Amino acid sequence: MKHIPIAVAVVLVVLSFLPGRQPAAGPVAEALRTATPSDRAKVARIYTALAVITQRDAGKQIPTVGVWRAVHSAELRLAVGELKGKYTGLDVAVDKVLQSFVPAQDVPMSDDVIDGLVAACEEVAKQSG
Amino acid sequence: MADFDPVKAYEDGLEGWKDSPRARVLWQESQPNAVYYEPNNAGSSDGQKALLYSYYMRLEPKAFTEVQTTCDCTSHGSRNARDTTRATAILVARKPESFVGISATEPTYGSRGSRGQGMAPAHASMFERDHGYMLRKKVGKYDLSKYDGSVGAAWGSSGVPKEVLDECATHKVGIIRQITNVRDAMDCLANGYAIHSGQYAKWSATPNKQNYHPRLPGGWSHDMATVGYDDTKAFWPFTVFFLAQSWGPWNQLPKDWPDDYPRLPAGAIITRAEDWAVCVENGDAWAYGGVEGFPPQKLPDLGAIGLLQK
Repeated sequence: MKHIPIAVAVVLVVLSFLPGRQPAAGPVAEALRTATPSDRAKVARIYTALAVITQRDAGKQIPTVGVWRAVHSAELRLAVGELKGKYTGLDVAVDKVLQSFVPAQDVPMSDDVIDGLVAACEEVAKQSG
Repeated sequence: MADFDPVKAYEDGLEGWKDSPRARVLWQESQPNAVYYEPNNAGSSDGQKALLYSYYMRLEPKAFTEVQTTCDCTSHGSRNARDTTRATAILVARKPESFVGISATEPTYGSRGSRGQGMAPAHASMFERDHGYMLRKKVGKYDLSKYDGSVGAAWGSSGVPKEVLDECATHKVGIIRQITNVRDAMDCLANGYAIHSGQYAKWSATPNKQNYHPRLPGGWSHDMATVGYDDTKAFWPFTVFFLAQSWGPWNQLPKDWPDDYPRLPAGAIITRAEDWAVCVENGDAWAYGGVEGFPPQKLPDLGAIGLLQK
């Protein structure tokens, strides 16, 4: 699990070269309505990276939703930087989107749970832009 | 008990494992299918490996770290087997449960029914089958959140308090079977059932050139959990078993280790199948399956709350 933040950072760098997308509507888009394009892109990259890691890991190093939660928090601590606190309600909005796909219960990372978390992260990324 | 040195105590003849034929007969008479017999699983372990210890260590940072401070090895062995089975069910069988945390040794040891020290594994099995087990936590005035060997030792004469029994009652070990031969033990491990056993045997603290701990003459009257085996013969050219100790880092682990195998916990013993056979030959090897676990725990959130806000 100790390599996961490094892997996330690598994926973030790679994703920074990809073109942007139009944000979808939803709680995260609403929380980011005043955000700059670069801030939107940053949030999108964080969650696209987390989706990739979650999918590639397939429950091996992240065996439960409880561990995934810890990885998610660790990623945010490392990656958010100056974005922290800039957009009121962004954390609640992200959690709302995530929990609309996967309930906050500490269960094993079954295929359904992995698919749900990947889709949830991709949705946060879409709403971010 | 603070200066209790388990290695010295067992070397000096302490009887942590009580060899009790009467307890085993009581077990056999109180339960149908007391002895492991699963023809459908027969041979499923051939050429395979089961590194069950790694599942417990993934879900519980304190796995295999409690060092016994009294003669309660049987309750450490049974707890380690019980928790290992529970973790394996979650991570391998995808049982929709939360691991929550390490479970306690004190109720099991406190149920031995005498002031004397040491415990028969059959008594532990009967207690965990009939009364259950509990996680490390406080129950009323009893603080079992941290291991304290003196608590279980004291309950030997007074009995396990009712509040603790009530806490244990909701989580029982549903399937416990006596193991009578090495092949059945391998099949149990291959199917996710950890084992604990009491035996009179001892192992070297230093691994040999073949990267296992050889058995030594004499013995410890001791109970340990068996939390894995390897029959692939890819690294060791023979079958080995992995025993989890409750003595802390008392020995040395081999420097050579398969790259793709999770590391063993400190103090573990790697033993050849021929040497491990003593664990069934002494008549007190017990496989733990069907451990009643804990429903999925509600998480406070999925990890973003407070980390995007100042």
